[in-house]
Amino acid sequence: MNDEWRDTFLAYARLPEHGAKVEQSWVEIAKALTARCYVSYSGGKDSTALLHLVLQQSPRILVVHWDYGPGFMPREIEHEIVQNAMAMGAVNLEIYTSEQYQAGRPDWAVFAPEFIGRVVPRLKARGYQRAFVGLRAEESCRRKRRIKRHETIVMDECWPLATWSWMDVWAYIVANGLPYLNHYDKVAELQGSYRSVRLCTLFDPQFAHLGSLDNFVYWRWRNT
Amino acid sequence: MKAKPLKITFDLAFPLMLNHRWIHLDGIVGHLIWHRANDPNRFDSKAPTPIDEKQFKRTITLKDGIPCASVGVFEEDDYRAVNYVKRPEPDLMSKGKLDIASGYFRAWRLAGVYNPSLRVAFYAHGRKDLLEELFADLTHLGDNIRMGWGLVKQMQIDQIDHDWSIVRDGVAMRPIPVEAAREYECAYPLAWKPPFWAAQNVTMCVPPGARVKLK
Repeated sequence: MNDEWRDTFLAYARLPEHGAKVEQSWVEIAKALTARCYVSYSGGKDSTALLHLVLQQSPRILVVHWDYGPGFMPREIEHEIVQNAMAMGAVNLEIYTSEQYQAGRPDWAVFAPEFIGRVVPRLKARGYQRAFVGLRAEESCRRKRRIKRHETIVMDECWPLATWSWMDVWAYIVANGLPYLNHYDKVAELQGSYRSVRLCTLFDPQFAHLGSLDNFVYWRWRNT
Repeated sequence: MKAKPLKITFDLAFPLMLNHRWIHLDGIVGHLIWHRANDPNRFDSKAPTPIDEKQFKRTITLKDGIPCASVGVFEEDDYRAVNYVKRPEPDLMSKGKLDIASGYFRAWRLAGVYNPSLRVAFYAHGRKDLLEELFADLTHLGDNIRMGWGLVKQMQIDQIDHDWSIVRDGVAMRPIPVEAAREYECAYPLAWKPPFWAAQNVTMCVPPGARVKLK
């Protein structure tokens, strides 16, 4: 991240509006922790900020991560995701994946039946009652609607970042010196902004409508 | 006319957009040959259509099977991204609910990478006359040409002393299969001949820009 963006985020982090959102999230997390919780951690910027917030109140909380397999998430990025979680202090990290990725199945045919259909019910059976998820209303109309209606799947969910903007997320990450994926700097350098930089599975047709720079940025892994 | 080392320079009226890390000269030549022989509105998009191999070999020299054609070299090594947003225009439609998440009216964000340079050069070993004749069909280079990206203003082919189409000063100028290299800095699975989108053309290659010594 260049100095210009870093200074911008640091200045934003000093705004009382940002402080109020962090405070509100802190209170929501404290309330949610009355039940047995885990954190859903994808490795993206939102879940990085979320994980740091939750770990401060519950250092030994279970951190659940879904590995999309080498076809959708190259191992270099996957290792970076795991290392970032550990650098933030996650000690109770569980990584799940599916062998179906090896068979070349598309992610949309694997993630929902495997993670939501298999992993989450098992966590529920182990006594977990609530999941922290880094969902934000700003991300899409669908998510905004989901937050408004509090639509959850299988497990009750808590969304401490629901009202955060992309600036809030980056301000929190920079102000707290959190490790984040190199992916964001690479894509932000091309786009000239951190605004619409997001992490999703690479070369994935289901995200084609969001615009993809994967062929250019990740040409090394295009044909693996 | 005999095949000679060439430098092909395109002056652009608008920057070139890329849908991959590089733009390949042999890909352009292959496409132009294919385009002349086929109806672009009727083709199988899943499998490559065979092109006139003889014409391709006459135009571009093959060295141990590798086309002597480099990737594009831009004036500046500066890349930027741009996003186009395609949204339906509900004001122009009849009243009622419209699904913009999927289907015909789905909203899209189209991202593309461009290099702001207005000059791109390629190195080749081939027939100048045949290339000039073939490039007469070329109006644009790169991706998203329907929006005007990569509009060609003029093209010039110069004969040069050295053949820099495959290697220049020990650096790969195009994807080179590792079988053809004696020593190399790194290798990745890449397409090494046109069409570059076809999976059957992918093999372990020394990427453009990496140090390499050919056998």
